[in-house]
Amino acid sequence: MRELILSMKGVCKTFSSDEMDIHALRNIDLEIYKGDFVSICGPSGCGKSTLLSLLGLLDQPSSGQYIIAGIDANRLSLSDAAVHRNEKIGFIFQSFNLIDELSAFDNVALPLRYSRNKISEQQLRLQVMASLAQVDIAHRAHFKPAHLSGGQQQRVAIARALVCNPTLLLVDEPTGNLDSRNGDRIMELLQQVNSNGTTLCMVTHDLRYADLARRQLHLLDGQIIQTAQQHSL
Amino acid sequence: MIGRQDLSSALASLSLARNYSLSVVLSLALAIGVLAAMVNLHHQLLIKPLPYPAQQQLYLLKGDSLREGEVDLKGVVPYSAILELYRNDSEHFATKGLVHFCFDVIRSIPDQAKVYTGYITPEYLALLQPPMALGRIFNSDEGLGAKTPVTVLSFGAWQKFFQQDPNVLGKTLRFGDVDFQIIGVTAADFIEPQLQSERRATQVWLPWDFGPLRPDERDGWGWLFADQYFVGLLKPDLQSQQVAVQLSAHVNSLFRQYTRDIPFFAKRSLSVELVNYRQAIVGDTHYITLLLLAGAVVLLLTALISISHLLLLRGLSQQQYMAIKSALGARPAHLFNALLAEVLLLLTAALFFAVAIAYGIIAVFKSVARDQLPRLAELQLSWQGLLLVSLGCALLLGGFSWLLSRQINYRTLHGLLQRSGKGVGIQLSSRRRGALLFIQVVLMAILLSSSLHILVQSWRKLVQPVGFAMENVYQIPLSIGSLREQPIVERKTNLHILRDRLLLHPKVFGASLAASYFPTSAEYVSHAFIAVDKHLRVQKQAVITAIDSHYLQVLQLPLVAGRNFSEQESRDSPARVIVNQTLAAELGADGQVVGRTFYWPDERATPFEVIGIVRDFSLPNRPEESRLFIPHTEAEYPGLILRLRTGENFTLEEMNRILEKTNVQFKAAGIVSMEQAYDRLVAPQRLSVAIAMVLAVLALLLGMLGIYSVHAYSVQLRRFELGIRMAIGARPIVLAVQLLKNNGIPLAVGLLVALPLLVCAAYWLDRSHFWVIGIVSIWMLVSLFIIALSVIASLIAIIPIIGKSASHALTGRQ
Repeated sequence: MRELILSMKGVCKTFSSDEMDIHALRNIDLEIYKGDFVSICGPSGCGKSTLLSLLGLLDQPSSGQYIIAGIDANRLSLSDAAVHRNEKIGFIFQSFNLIDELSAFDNVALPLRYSRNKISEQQLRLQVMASLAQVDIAHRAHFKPAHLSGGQQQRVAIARALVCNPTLLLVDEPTGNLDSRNGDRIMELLQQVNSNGTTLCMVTHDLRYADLARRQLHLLDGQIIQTAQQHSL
Repeated sequence: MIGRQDLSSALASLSLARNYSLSVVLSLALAIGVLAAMVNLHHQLLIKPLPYPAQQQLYLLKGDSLREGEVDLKGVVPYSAILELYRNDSEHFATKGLVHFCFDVIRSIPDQAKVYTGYITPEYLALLQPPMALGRIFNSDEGLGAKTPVTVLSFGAWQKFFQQDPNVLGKTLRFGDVDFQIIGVTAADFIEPQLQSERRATQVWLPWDFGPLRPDERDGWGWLFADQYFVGLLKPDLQSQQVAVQLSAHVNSLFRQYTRDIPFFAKRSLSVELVNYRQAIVGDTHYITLLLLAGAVVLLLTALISISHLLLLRGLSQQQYMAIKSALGARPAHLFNALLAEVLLLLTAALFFAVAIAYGIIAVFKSVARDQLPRLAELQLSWQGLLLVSLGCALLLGGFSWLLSRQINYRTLHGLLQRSGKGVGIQLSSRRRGALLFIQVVLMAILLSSSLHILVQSWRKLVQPVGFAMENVYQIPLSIGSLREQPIVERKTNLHILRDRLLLHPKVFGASLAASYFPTSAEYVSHAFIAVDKHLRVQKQAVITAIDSHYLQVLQLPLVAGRNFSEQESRDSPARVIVNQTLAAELGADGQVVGRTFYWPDERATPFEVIGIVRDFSLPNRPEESRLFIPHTEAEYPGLILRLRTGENFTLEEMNRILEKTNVQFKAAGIVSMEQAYDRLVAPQRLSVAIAMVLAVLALLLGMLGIYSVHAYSVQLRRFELGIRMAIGARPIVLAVQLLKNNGIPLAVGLLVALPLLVCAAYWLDRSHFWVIGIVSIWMLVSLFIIALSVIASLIAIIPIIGKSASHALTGRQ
């Protein structure tokens, strides 16, 4: 029996302003198992990124239940959520979101430095370099983001997401800022990560890449309107 | 070019950001108002011409007495010397005059306190060409030797004594036994040059001939006076320094000629200098105005730095709107104009408040610093000063707007709009963030430390015990009228009868006779020389006070050695003296001078014995002088010191009735409580305390605003970066600690850089007689305060970000 790593039941997310309430997500029911590769598709404004934020504990649902690794996300403090993100979740953003003034090495080292489980500098270095090597960017370890190409930056971002060995990798439009060649390479990398057992949940517009996932969720107006399942790639 | 549309958009936008607008307007108004007032003050004192014709050529002669080439009495000149120059110098001055500043009591108007008198030759006022409310000034027929009893009143005296009676001309005022006919009243807008003191405004002008000097004082070259001046209009082609050298040589040759038979003057000479009226009036107060101006400039810089941070914060909060404008085709110039329009509106609003603040400061200065700073009567807020400061601020703010528009990356704005909500934002380098914090900290540390330092030093001086009793103690200078012409014995007898009569009065607890010099007075001081050896080789100078046997008791002045005068000694024994600790230390190396004999430096080297040593006074801002107390055997300028029973007081009328019972010539020239006199003495300290307190409060407010805004700005700039860190698992506490660590370096560097600057400033101020000690401890205190403030400001700024979920920071949601 496959291990359930997260589940959502009746999850809603509403953004309120002075003038109106915007219902970004409505009654989301979702279960993701260990080793899954889930893609989330849908038109702009359908709530894909909001769903990813909730999944990654970057935000909290307005209502509904979200259980991750057996813990109710609504009951997690900001600090506990941060610890959970640090230890169990990796994030990859469309625009890489590397910290400009840190080198690739230091960007990748950040999650380890924030970890409660302190490791020696030597071990940190080994782990960071291994992570950079995994995405084939170790030779650019001391470059700052401004001196890396888009594809290289995304590799660094993937290395950063993987450095703490997360069980869940959340990926938001990973190829959105890349040309098709670089996009394909990044997707190959992500598939490889998934094949190693890491659960992957990816938001994408690109149906070519969405089709690579075992399970595809289609969102419209904040609701999951269709779930497609593939049994083999 | 800013258009109407820019302005109306800016107004609408600012009305939605009231806290921001209010913070900027008030900070700017305070800084501009204070600086405008200080620029005006500085301009008034040091730059604006005096309101007299040919003011640049008006000079005053000041002299020093020298012994073996060293100055031993400063600012004194013999009466005969100035008379000689007035009579016989035709080479250097186009017009010459004499003035003797004094005080007296008007005897034709009952129970008037003392009035300030000026005994002058006609040229003195003619040089000033005062506007007249009534009549005229003295003419040449009323000059030296004419002995014409006429008088010119000041506008204030006309108001006070004659209630602005339009028929006052021809009426008389009596001084001593002489009735002086009023021939003129100066106009209200006539400003007398304050040649002697800021505290003194002459009320009655009288002819020189009626001055209070005795015939021997007028004739002898050995009498040196500090309140009589030769003034003149220097011929335009002459250099004052060269003329002073020539006058010194001339005066010295006469001085030596007339004093060659007197041993006291054997090694003495005179030196004179010509001091321009402006220099004489302003003196060394330019240190104070420079200090105030520097404080105002630092305050303005602090405010501008704070405001620039607020502007940057504003710019950040406006990024989304700018991105939309940019997407709609706005060029960088359009965005800059929009920013500039906001800044202009804020500056305009600030100027209105600034004018009110500047007016307020000037009014306060004119009321509280009248006696401490010269030319305050002329001080007005000039539109030129305000315009200058405003233009400076406008330029600086325009510059800030430009810098702000440079900070906003035009290309990034496009991206911001395209990816809004998708987790992108602007990141600013830690170096730039650190630089902003560094500048803010340096300015705040300097301003806060220096104002606190001045505050503490002035306050310490204010609260230190003065060393004599002040509660229920009153000082009463006496006018003795024609008794001055009577033999000494008669004057002395009358004064002792008066004191004994007062001792029996039910309101009086203690009464003492003293010469006109009181402990708290800086005016009319008499100095004496004391020879340590019989051959008069080593001489010491001391302030001399003639006292009776009750003086020490009334003032509760403790003897540290020896004894007081007996009643008999205080009447008849000029051969006994009491000295203070300072003089005792000067006279003998160990200060043990009781029982030792010293000498008056007269022809016979008359010996006298020190019978007691009293404790030094501790008067604020005045190093203790050598003091010599002699028996009250002569009483030319006498005074009384009374200690009244608790709750009792005397009116001038009451006192004059008591005085008249002893002798009708006795008049009280005023009744001043020792506390009032002390208040007057410490007025400069109080002014320093008030200014320092205001500066400290303003520095604190602006500094707090600045420190908060720089932290808030820094955190806002890092909002997105913090979001990334949160997304990859940084706990809130870790981010807060990291922020504090990041800010710690520029904070520490800023505080360390401020220290040498403060020490340099303190060194400069110390040379100008300000206080320097303790600046480091104040700096440490201020540093702790700034660190605490920074920690609080950092936490206040970061908590709204780290206290919410990471997506808020990443997407820019509030």
